[in-house]
Amino acid sequence: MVRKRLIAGVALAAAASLALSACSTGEPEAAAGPTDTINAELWYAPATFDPAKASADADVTVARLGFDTLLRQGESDGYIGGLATAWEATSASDYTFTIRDDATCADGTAITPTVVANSFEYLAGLEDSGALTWKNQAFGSGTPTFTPDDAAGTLNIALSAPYSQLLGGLTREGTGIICPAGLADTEGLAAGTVDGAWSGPYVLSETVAGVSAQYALRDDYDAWPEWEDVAGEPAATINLTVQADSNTSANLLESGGVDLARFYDANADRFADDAAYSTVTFASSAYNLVFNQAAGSGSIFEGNQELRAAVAQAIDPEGFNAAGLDGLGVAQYTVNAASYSCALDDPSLVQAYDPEAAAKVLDGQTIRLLIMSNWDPAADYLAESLRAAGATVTVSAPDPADWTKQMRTQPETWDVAVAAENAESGLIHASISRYVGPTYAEGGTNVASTDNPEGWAAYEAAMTSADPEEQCASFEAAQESILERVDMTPLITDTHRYVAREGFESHVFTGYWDISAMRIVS
Amino acid sequence: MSTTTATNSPSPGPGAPVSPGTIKAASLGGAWRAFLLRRLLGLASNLVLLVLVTFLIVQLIPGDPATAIAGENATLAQVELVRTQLGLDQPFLVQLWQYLAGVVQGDFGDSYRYQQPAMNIVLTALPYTLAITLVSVLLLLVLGIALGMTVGVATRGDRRRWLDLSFTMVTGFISSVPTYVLATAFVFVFAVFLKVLPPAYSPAYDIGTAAVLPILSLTIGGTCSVARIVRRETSVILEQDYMRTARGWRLPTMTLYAKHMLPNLLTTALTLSGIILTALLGSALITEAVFAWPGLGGVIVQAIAIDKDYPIIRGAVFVIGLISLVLTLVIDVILGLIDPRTLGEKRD
Repeated sequence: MVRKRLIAGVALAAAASLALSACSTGEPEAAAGPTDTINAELWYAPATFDPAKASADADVTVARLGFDTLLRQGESDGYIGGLATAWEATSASDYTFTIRDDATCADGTAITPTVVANSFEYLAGLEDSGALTWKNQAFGSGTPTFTPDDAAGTLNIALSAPYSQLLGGLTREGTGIICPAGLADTEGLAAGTVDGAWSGPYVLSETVAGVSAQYALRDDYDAWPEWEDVAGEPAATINLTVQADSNTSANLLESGGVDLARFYDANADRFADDAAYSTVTFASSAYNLVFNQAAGSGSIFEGNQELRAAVAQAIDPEGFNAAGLDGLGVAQYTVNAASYSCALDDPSLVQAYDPEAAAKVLDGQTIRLLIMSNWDPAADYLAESLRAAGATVTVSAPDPADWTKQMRTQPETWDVAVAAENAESGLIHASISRYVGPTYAEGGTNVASTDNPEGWAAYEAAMTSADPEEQCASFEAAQESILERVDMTPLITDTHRYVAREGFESHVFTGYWDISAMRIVS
Repeated sequence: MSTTTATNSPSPGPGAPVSPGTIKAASLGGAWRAFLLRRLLGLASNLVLLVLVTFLIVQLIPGDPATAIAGENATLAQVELVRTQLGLDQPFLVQLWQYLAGVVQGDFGDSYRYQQPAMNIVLTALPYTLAITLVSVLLLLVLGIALGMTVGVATRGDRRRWLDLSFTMVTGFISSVPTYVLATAFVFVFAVFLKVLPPAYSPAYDIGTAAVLPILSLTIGGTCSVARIVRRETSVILEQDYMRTARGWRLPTMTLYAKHMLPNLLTTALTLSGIILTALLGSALITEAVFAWPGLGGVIVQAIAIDKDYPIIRGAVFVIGLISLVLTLVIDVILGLIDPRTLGEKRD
């Protein structure tokens, strides 16, 4: 009956609208007027509303609306409090947090250290791929032990293996605190139907699977981070619809159909010089060239640093930027974006573009290039750059899932690959470990299969240090080692833009776009 | 209807034996029974084929579902955990058996991504797709028949050749333009340039207003195609003896065209409508992308391109195939009612 009504309704309304639009001379209705609603888009539909199981980009984005984390990214650097007001790292294995005493769940339950501990226990105990990722990012590879003290308002986290990146890990959306009602009904939690599960500023008020989600601001919420530069009012309602086409996003933004839109291509330029729109930028992906050095794989780069350096010299990152990213990317000089804490930002450490020097080494070489599908301009640019240096290049461009699988598990099929590193987590150790330590086959994430004991030692030193300065120094040493050995060469950081129309704003904190900081400013 | 059919039946020539009775009620009933039995068996066998094909085609889609679902940061152990949880580590025949056993009970399995019955996701999006396609088919049939008839009548007997030529050129051009190109052009004209209609679906707009451009995009090409065919059929029918006789009797215009010509045109138009609707379902999936319309298109694209969500792909393809098969059957039944000769059996 509902479907019949939809069809009949659409038919009638479309006919009426068509007739009316013939007489109309103004813009569609949505474009004007004060509002308490923000209409925004997701590229894909959220699949789960359980933050611990969030794995796709959309799941992660909406998790921030519904679930608060202990810490948040600082506005320009470091961390600020979320549900925690203070924190201390006694060592890389022992952390203590003071939990704010005024935070509540959507059903009024107080968020105590025990509530936080129970939520973490749930996350750490899940046999789920998404949860394992969050658990590793938050607590490392060891076993965490949570000791709440409700009287003192503190939570102690002890790790069986040192992990210095716990503070950064606890800013991540997947570690959002799930209230007791959600833990009591995990199926309902995933479906977003448990009213009391939410600890964040918004509750899910309506969702149509695969199509849209609507969030409503909690009346009783007052646990916003102490942002200094965030002005305006949070929306009472946030409508998120699924829309992946950048042209359509631009048209909708222009017509007022959405209030904010994310752009990865030249459509962002339509709003660049218009005072009626504001833009924030953030790193989305870091593109690197990875050299396969797996023993016995047949890769020409195994044990041949000169050849690796020549490939790096043959490619102009700015040319790659123009060909593959409409020139919207920004320069990158290490394993991930410059906005990352402890990321090197020194051009002298990477191979300078020198096609003549590259040609002397690459002439006559045969190189197997692996890249993901649907990115022909980038693949063509890389292949032609190497061909111009005298190399014979075969390009393999499988589907993204196969590309990932091939890089990790089939080193015998490629010599050099374009790797896309998520640039939104802010955790540089995850990017460094792509080039040092155990390979995927050994249970690690070293996709280049390098044997770099020096880099690995520096990485290990950073991961076991409780001192932030020491951590950074060691992480930088690991990056220097990787760059000196040319185990990879950075290409470009894919920089996305969030454009808001007049009356709306959004914010990027330390390179991280925060959906909960969208505001209505007029 | 039967009068029209009898009128259309070929007249016996001079000296030919006279048929004892053109159509007898009993023999017509037998023809219907045979027709329905034949078509229902065909529908059943097509459904079986559809189920098997939907299972097999997803295996050809490049990409590993477990890798896609596990995410980019997953280790190999996490990928294997997902593979086991999804049942993708089972042998091919076991997976096929589980799939068939589920389909028999109307269960296409749980979506890999959404962890809920795939058919729920498909049926949530389906009404949005049907809303624009069914309205488009109705519109294009009505408009196409009206336009084709009008031009056919106006150009009868080589009159108004300029109109005939212009009509043929314009409709030929429009019907040759792909739907997504028309859709993009409409967005530019009505949304970006004139700013009188929304460029795409958004909660900020009334759903009816947002549906105007998708429906227009789907309708206009089909209208031109139908109009061209109807115009040709009209010319042929107008030259037939019964129409000449009707004109000779100076029947009123409405009686002449609505009562005597239209039923004969409907046979062609209805046959076309089944084909057009099936094609429109395909076009709609692409058009939905242009207009961010929350129908099956977006669901299928995400399931294929991003998630490798086999249950959703299977469910969506099955539903689209089922709609196509059922509509074809319904149209054949209606055609049989209008013109029993289409039942496909000799009745002496």
